[in-house]
Amino acid sequence: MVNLLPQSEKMKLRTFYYARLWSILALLLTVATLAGSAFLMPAYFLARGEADAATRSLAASEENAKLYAATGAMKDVSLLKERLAILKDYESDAVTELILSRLAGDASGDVGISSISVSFSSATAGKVSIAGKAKTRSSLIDFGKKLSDERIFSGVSVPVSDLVNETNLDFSIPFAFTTSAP
Amino acid sequence: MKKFTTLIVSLLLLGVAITLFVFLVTRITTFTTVIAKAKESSAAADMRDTALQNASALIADTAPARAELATFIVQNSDSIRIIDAVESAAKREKVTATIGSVTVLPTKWQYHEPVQVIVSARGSFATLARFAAALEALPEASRIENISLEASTNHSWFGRFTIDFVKEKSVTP
Repeated sequence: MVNLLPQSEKMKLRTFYYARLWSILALLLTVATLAGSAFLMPAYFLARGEADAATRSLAASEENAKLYAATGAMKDVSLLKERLAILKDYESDAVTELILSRLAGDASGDVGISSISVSFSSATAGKVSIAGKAKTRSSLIDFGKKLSDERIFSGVSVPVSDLVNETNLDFSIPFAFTTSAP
Repeated sequence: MKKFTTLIVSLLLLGVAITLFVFLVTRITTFTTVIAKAKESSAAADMRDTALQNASALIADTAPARAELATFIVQNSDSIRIIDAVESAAKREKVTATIGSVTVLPTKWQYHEPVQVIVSARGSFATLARFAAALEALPEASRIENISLEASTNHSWFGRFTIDFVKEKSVTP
């Protein structure tokens, strides 16, 4: 079929056709989008309600926690925990008298103790330093042996430098003690 | 121009519809995030709440035991008890004791602080040994840090005792 319309009319018709076509497409898209929005509406209201409820629940929980915290229970628990730790740390057996009696008992008439120093590193262990004067070399060696035979003492050794003189020997013996030894 | 009016109106309507759709999707996403965060925080708050309830119950149940425990610790308002304890021990063991210094030591503890007491005493070896034992047996939370004994004249000994006591902190958090 021959189109006898002039070129300008043809252009007008084409433009009109495309304008209508795009309008219909836009309207269809609008309808589809609105339908989608309508479907989302229940989810929107539900989510809003849930969010409000969750926020209220959180506020209530925090208020509850604040109320309990205000009673000072946590401070009391923390104080109790610290006290138990301190008492455990400070728990000790009466060991000083035992150590001193062993030291004095091991010293014979030929060995005179002039000073004793006991320092505790824990409740049952520590270091001892004992100094004095021994009449003879053998009496000092015997004293050292008696000390090393004591189960609560360890590392007892008479320093060689203290054995230089034959008589009237000044000595100083450092060693360790532990009263929890088997 | 008239022939484009419908197209313009349609495009405007489409724009409004898309804006509405995007708004709804964004809000729903925001609400979902809020719900998730609130539930997470709520669970944590509930746990804290439960822990606090348990702590309160523990504190209520252990009141007598805690009161007994407190008797071993020197109260801040009763700091003189430390000196009294040392002097009483010396008196019991018939030792002439002099308190040289009482020093509060630095500590990492939150509610308590150690107090170091240095005591010098004079007596026989046996009495000083008994005095040391008496110091070890004090009911207050304390321990002997070190002892130094030196022989003096006429079988007399001079002793220096360092004892750490525990007392309540003067300023608690």
